Amino acid sequence: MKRIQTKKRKAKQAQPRKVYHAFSSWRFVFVSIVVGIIALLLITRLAYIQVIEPEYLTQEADKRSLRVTQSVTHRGNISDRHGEELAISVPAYAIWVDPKTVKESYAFNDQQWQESAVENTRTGKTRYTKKKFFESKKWPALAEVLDVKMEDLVRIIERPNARFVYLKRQVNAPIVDYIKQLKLAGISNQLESHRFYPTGEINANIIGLTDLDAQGIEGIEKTYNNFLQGQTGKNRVRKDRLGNVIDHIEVVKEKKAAGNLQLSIDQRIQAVAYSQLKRAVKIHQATSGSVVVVDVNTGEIYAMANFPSFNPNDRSQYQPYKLRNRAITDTFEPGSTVKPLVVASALAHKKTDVDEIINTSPGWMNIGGRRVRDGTNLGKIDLAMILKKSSNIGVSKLALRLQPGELQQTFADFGLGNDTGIGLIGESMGRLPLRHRWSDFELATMSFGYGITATTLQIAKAYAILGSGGKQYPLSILKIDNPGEGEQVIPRNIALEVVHMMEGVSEQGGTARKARVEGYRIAGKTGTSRKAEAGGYGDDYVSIFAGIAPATNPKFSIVVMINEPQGDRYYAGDVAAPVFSAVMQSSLLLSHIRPDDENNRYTLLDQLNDAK
Amino acid sequence: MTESRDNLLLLIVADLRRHFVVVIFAIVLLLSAFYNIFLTHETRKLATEKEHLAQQKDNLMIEWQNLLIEEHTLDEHSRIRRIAKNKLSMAQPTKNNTVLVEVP
Repeated sequence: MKRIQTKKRKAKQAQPRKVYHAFSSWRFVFVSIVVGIIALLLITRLAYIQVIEPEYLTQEADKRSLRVTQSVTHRGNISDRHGEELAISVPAYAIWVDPKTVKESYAFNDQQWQESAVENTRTGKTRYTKKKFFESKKWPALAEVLDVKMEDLVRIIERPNARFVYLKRQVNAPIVDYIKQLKLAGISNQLESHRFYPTGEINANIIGLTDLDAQGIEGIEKTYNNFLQGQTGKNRVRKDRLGNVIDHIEVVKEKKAAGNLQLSIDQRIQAVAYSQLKRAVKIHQATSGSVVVVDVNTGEIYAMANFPSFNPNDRSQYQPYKLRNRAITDTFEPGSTVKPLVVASALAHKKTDVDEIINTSPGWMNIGGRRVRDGTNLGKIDLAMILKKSSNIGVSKLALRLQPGELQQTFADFGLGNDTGIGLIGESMGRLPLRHRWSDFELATMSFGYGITATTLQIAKAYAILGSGGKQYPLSILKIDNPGEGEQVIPRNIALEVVHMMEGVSEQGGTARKARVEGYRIAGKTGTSRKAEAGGYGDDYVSIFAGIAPATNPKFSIVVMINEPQGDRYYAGDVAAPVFSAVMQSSLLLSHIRPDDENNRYTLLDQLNDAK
Repeated sequence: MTESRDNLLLLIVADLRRHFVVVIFAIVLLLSAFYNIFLTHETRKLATEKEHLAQQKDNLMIEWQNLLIEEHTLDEHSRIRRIAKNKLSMAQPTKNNTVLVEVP
């Protein structure tokens, strides 16, 4: 157009009056045709690019701008009933190497270095494309910061066909930044997750741990792996030259937030339970021990500690025997701790009444040619005294009045030989032999806890049923908001009566004076059972104390089991009862349970006010 | 000279006036095109900002998790118990120095 205008202008200058006189039609036609052809060409090209073959350029553009980004979901946290985190995931990095890339830019010997020489044809100078690996100071720096030996690093990189080798995993961010600054060819990092357990060994057995790929391999981590895991999301986005995301195209993989798990564990009680247990196991040189604290009214587990334990943050300590959650996996013969259940069974089947006096003289009796004995001759005693003094003869006499099936049914009602409902992997159900023919002696031994086996948790559940007035709740390691109504397995009055009888155990003359808790009335029972080994019973013992408190309105059922205490003092009253006392006291005080011991009154706030 | 130039301008203006509607459409089209560009740019800026904020949120999340770890390592119950006992010579109150407050 400009050209035409200038021409016009020139024409005007020559002959101002006749503007259109100089109009040359062929010129106009020529210019029109040329412009028209150019326009047509452009439009054709445009149409070709836009309509006929747009894929090629779209593809080229996408190659340069479309990216898939990851939105990482970290494993969910595990917290205790008050929201205190027991397991936390933080990002960590895995450092890996592509040996082929390294070999392409570094020479490992002189020969490789010579071979990499490239002669510049113009200047005639030779240049070496590879650097000498062993003269670089960066590689030793890398080895040092990753705590890898230089020889190992060389061995990894010299592998012939490898394209991906982990150098180190679970590396934290500052080290990764340092490695990035080294700018080494073939070294890359990859985001992963590091699991951290702030409470360390205290909860190690119940929470378990994860492997390097953030998969639960033990305990709660494994049981609830799917819930805790979540899913890392993937988005297709468009990025600009600077790497900023400018457009969201689509969601390739939906991101799923990981679930956070809240346990029923009260970390404060758990910590006390663990430290007391550890102390007792060490003092008595025992091989292992477990403590379980159960809320009798909901079935929630407030604490479950085991010793030996391990620090889950330090994988070099990893030893399978330390990992075991002994409170649910290890069974033992519960010994005298089942005696209250026998008394409850006899009461429930109306084979005795609470005031009955049973003659246990002369301290031993023959049943089917074999002898059952008490420690001393206890004479004529009532049911409460049988429990207080733990009389084998007393409970044997009660058991012999029952049908074997009746006693077994009571044991089964109390949860022996069955799972507790906790739902953790590795739980053992113990052994409650079911058969029809029992000799009298077998029945008698079963009444004081031989011939059957149970886990610490099962006994805690049995005592929780007594404490809750005969109601059984499935045990739970997860916090329960609404426990629902328990199933009545034993009449309420009988359960309460037995709890009342068990109060004698910690009183003067009972088997476990050391189980007393200041300010509270407790009901409990000791159990010291010989451990069965091949060919009979050996010299090792299992010391158990199971108890409920406060006796007037039970809240907690606690069982302490100490396996193979050494030395002279192996009786449960000396070994397990002090642990019970300490744990029970902390549990009651921390849970703000009203002291119920009438002989041991606390000062009330009202009294203080009155005194003023 | 000025006269002839005025003439051309007048001619052009006259031409434009004759196709007044087309000119208006052209202007509207242009404006719409520029507005489109502007909006796309704004959208991209917002997308970038959103991405930055998401990144920031992730970073804060990570920091929070790390702080949680630190907190829980420091407030670990047995550690507090140990410090209370050994450093501060504290003890669990016994029944004699306890006043029971009943919460209705």
